[in-house]
Amino acid sequence: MATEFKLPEVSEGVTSVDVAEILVAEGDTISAGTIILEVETDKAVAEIPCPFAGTISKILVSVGDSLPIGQPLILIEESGAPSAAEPTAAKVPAAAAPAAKPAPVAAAATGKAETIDFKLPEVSEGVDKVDVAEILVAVGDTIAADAVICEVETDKAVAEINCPHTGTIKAIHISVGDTIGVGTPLIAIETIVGGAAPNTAASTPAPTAGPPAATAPATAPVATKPVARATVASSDGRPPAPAGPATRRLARKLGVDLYQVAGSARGSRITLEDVEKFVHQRMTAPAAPSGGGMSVGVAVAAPLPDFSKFGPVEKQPMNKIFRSAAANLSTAWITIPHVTQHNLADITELESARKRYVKDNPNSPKITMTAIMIKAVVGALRMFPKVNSSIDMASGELVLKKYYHIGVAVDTPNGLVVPVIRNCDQKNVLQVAAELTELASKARDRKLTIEDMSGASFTITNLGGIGGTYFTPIVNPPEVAILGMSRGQKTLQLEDGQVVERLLLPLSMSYDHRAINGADAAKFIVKLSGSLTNFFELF
Amino acid sequence: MKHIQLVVLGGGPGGYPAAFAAADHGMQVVLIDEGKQPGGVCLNRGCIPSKALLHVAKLINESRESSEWGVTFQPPEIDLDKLRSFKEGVVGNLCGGIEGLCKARGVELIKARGMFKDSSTLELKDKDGNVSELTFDKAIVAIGSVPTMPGFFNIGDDRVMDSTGALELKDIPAKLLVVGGGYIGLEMGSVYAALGSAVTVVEMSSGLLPGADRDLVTPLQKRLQEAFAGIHLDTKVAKLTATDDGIVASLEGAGVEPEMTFDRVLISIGRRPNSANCGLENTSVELDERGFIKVDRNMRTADPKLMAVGDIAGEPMLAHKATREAKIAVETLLGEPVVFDNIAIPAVVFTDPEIAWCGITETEAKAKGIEHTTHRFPWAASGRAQTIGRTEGITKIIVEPKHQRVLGIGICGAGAGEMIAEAVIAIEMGATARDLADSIHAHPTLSETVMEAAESVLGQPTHFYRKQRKS
Repeated sequence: MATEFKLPEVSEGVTSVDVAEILVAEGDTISAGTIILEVETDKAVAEIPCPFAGTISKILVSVGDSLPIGQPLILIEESGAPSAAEPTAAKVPAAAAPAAKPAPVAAAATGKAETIDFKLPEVSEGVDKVDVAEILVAVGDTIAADAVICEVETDKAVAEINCPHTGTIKAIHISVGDTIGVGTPLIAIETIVGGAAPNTAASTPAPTAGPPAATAPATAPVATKPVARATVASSDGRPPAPAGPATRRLARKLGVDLYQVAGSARGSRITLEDVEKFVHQRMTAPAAPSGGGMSVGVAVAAPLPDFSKFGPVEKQPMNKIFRSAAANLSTAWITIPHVTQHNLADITELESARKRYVKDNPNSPKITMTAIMIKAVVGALRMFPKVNSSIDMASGELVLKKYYHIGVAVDTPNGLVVPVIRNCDQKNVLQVAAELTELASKARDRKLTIEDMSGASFTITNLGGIGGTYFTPIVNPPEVAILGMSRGQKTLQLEDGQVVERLLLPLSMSYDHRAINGADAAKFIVKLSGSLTNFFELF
Repeated sequence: MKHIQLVVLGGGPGGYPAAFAAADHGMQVVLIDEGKQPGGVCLNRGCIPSKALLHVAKLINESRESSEWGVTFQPPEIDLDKLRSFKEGVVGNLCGGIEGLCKARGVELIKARGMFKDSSTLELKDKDGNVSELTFDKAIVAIGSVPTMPGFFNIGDDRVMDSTGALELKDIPAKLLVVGGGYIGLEMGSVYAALGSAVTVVEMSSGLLPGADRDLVTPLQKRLQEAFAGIHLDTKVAKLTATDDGIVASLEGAGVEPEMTFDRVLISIGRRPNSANCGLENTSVELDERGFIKVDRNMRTADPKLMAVGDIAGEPMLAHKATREAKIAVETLLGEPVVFDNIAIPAVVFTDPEIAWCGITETEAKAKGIEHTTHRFPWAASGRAQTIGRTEGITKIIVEPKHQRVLGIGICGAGAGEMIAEAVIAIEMGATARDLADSIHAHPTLSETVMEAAESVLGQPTHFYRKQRKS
């Protein structure tokens, strides 16, 4: 008998969609969970998996059709009874990444209560999209709780994803290169938890059903498949977000995902005010670059010509770090009025003292010019607090920081990263140097955590190892200044009428002119240069 | 044919709150109930009559225990007719109240049995056999559950009863067998034991009250072992045979007499959804393998015109869960931003002592590998428990280690059913142990045990000292 598969609910609040692409043809035999359509909502492209297995006898829609929820899509001759585990009707994350591969049968096929879909947990605060860098397990593997199953790339770092369940992997839902969101199913795992767990319902993810389609009682049918409901609130196995019923209701009304809201009450409990603040921040925040794209605000790059007309080309995909760095740099360039102040610092004595120390103390942490510069910068920042600030245009405030966390740009084969050395004012140059060596090697091994790379109040970028004289670095928001170091150069100078050889270090400080005025910037760099020359004040 | 905006089928604690809420929001509502009076199992033959009887049982027990405090009463004389009419009076008052509230709200109450002819038509048959039909835009199905009575127990003898029969209180049997050590069996067993029956409980599994943490059950079990003639765990009733001397039960289990004779037998092995014989097959609703109607978190069924709430919509089969679901169903119809997202559904066993718990149990947390710590406060350290001579109780709290957020609370002791309300609010609000410990609890009350259990999460509670293990 032919079954009619109707358009399930795609996302909360979405009542109609446009058909973007039809991925199956009449006569195709599909398995349960096969993606049959891509549809566009006003927010995202979503894939529609068909929960039935069988042969498609008729396709009832065409590309470009605008369909309401509940509209029949295909007729399918079912090849077997629908699976026991309800196929999660429209399990399309709201902002479904177009790249996500059709999740193969797994979830539907066996439908055993012990088979759990392990979903992407929160990787780090504020990170909602990651790229799959590496998959470390295979179907059939038996893993222990907390085994690392894959590595993902966030904007800033590579993170390992641990699966908290013990069991055998039945299916892998992701492929390397996929861009996936928090909550995307990663693997199906058959757990082998000892003892009977009578309340299996609670651990079985129940798809969240959206709000009713419309207001009046007599309204359009809602085609979501009901599922046996867990008695516990969480809809995907995560513990519920810590918020009272009234707060949860407000969040649902406003479409806020409570897992993204930071709670301000005791024990991070989320209050009504936290939800309001979250919405306020989102509404007043500048439009963020979306998804994998890089368009920023109004500035849209012209379409590229067909370069192959001019000669052979090779296309190289940009990884997540490249893409988000590109987007962030564009944002910084457009929103920050940049000025760059240059200066030459006389480091003749400092450099020879440094070399002597390094030679005499082979077992000490390696004192580099960058390490010394970090200490010198902290000294200058203390005198010019505005350089150690952030500008809040929304509230019209300058946020002056009472801490000195210095970011250091490190070039790695995988992209540019900026690990942060914390509380540099409380560390001596040896401690700073040791930490710098460690962070740089972590950076090259892709072992930096997001925590390692957040919280900088000022950034240093050193191109001295390569060469060049001056350059204009781009400020790393929300900081307001960045210091570029070039290669020190031996220069002839006049001193008391005598020609002497001095070692001069070209410095370039770019700054946000909204936060720092030109005179202060010049004073800052002069002070900084002076402290390198008369370096006793560094100690 | 009559057409109505919303039909609610079933007048129990799922159905009538749904009808009332819908009417309060201006919908045109018909409430259909087949009983003599609305109220469902809860009011007519469940929660309410059993609690009336349990109150009397408690009074009888306390009148006995008080001799220890120097107050001795004569053994009670029981006027069974009067006791029954007290119980029926309570039921009558409450059911009458519902009829009154229907009138006040403009909800039309039809006393008839409803059968779905299709997804928008109900056939109604009243007690005189008159048949009519009704069409509707939407229906909320709240048709509840019935006691499970397997065929081999159903031997056609009215001395073998289900909970409904036991509540009728036809006589006080000298010897009563309770089959099933769940909450219904223990509550009714307690009533009959107080009235003078020798009560024997037979439970197939290895413990009473499956689902409750063992440390909560222990104090109750100790007391019941004294009150009851026997409690046989891991024991099966293989056969019931009606004889003139009574019902002969064949028992299978270690150390149990293989045949015992009882004056009455109460079968209390569970309840099953009432999904048969009401025409659900003529609609598009889907049932699960146990016969519950499948619903989503908005109480929508697979049939776009039908919603389902209460026992028929799945476990746990509890009146207060049904009432919450009723509100969700109606608000869903109204387009409100609502889903069943409750974290804590309290469970209460109204024995003496009572057992109540909500949120996660310790057993569940362990089985699922949820990170937690458990902290117990013994009632022997509670001043209030001492004054009422009930120091066997225990209050335990299960918290998540990072923020000490409360995941579950379990209480065994007098009045646990009233105390659990604080626990439910704490869990729903995402409270931490510190929130409970720093809130002032009235002295001297049993509720202080919740505060002190929370204090033991943070360190030492005031009235109890536990030596710290050296690590």
